[in-house]
Amino acid sequence: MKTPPPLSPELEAALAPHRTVLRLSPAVEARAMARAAAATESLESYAVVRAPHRPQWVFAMAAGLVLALGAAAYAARGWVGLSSSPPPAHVAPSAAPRAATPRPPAAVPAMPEPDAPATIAPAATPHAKRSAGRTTATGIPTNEELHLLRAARQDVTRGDFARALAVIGEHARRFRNGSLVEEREALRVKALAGLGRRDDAQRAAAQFRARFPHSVFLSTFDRMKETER
Amino acid sequence: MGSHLLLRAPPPAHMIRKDPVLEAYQQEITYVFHALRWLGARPDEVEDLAQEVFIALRRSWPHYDSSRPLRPYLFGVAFRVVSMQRRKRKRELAFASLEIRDGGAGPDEVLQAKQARATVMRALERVPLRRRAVLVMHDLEEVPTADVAAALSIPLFTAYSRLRKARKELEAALRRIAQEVHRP
Repeated sequence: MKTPPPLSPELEAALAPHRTVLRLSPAVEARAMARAAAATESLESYAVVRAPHRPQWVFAMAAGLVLALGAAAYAARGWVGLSSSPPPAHVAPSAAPRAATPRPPAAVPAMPEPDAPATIAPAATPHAKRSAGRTTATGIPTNEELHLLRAARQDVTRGDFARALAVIGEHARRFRNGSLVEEREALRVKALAGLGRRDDAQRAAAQFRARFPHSVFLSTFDRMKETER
Repeated sequence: MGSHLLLRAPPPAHMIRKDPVLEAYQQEITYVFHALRWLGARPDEVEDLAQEVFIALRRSWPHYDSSRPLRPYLFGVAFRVVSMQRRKRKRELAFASLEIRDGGAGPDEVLQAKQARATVMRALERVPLRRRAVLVMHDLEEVPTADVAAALSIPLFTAYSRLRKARKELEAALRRIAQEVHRP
């Protein structure tokens, strides 16, 4: 097979000293691994709700996780997920410039913040593109997706939480990894709390916190908790 | 501050559950950070981007062919994550955004090595991301061109042409930086 010509002496001299991978500091590595582990838990429990094509062992594992979460929530009998102590997913402040985001307005904004994290579409390979279905790999929501989320938000604003949950479910089904996942899941927490389903709201909030540790919606959840007290 | 850090301390390693993606990530986490830095991620954003790489890796894991080396694949994922981030804040991106933080003190060799690395990084910043990715993979990571093309989902010919152009751009950038340094 054809190979590119060798590097010029000038480039070789510039690049050669940098071919070794520098060691990462243990603290940074531990922090990154803790975040990754938390995201793993979150994503797996999240997949329980809608993944009909998954093999049965995935269901069994996820169901076990949900039961464990339920038992933990019952034992704690408090706002476990919304308490002031964050899950291990939360990184130290030095690593999280977004942690200092300003508090959002009282109402849930219609669009996620432009720098909202963890909304990368799974288009990591050419094959992934094929399997991504209706996800929006470009990160730009389609009109249909926007329309659905807007409807859900209006339902929440009106206080029609049951209807909002139905719309949220529809959005989750049609735009599983859409561009507005963060917004959708924030609305889910609000709708569940509005229906008085405290345990479900706490669980959803805990999952949200693990998945979007720097989200601007987290402070909204904290205010909801304070209001309830 | 100290107690704050303690409260947020990560769990011990034995508490991190066994999971193939997590294990692969743990094994290559240093490389992920390394790749992100070469792709132009700033020190203050590299941890967040690494987390996004992990999430993207989880989602694409079923499509990963485990008979192939993991690093080029990871590099491809990191490239997509950085590309997406760049698109999000296209207008904010300044080529000279990389800071040279040498901390002042330290033996001369360490300082020189840091400065040399910073110079190469500054020069790489002037190579557009799509071409920079090919150059870093091929000329720094020493990944064969065919694997570079596969990891970045581009035709082999495109990989060659991007590499050729990126080398020219990097040479030009290094020369310009050298001139800037020596200018009175």
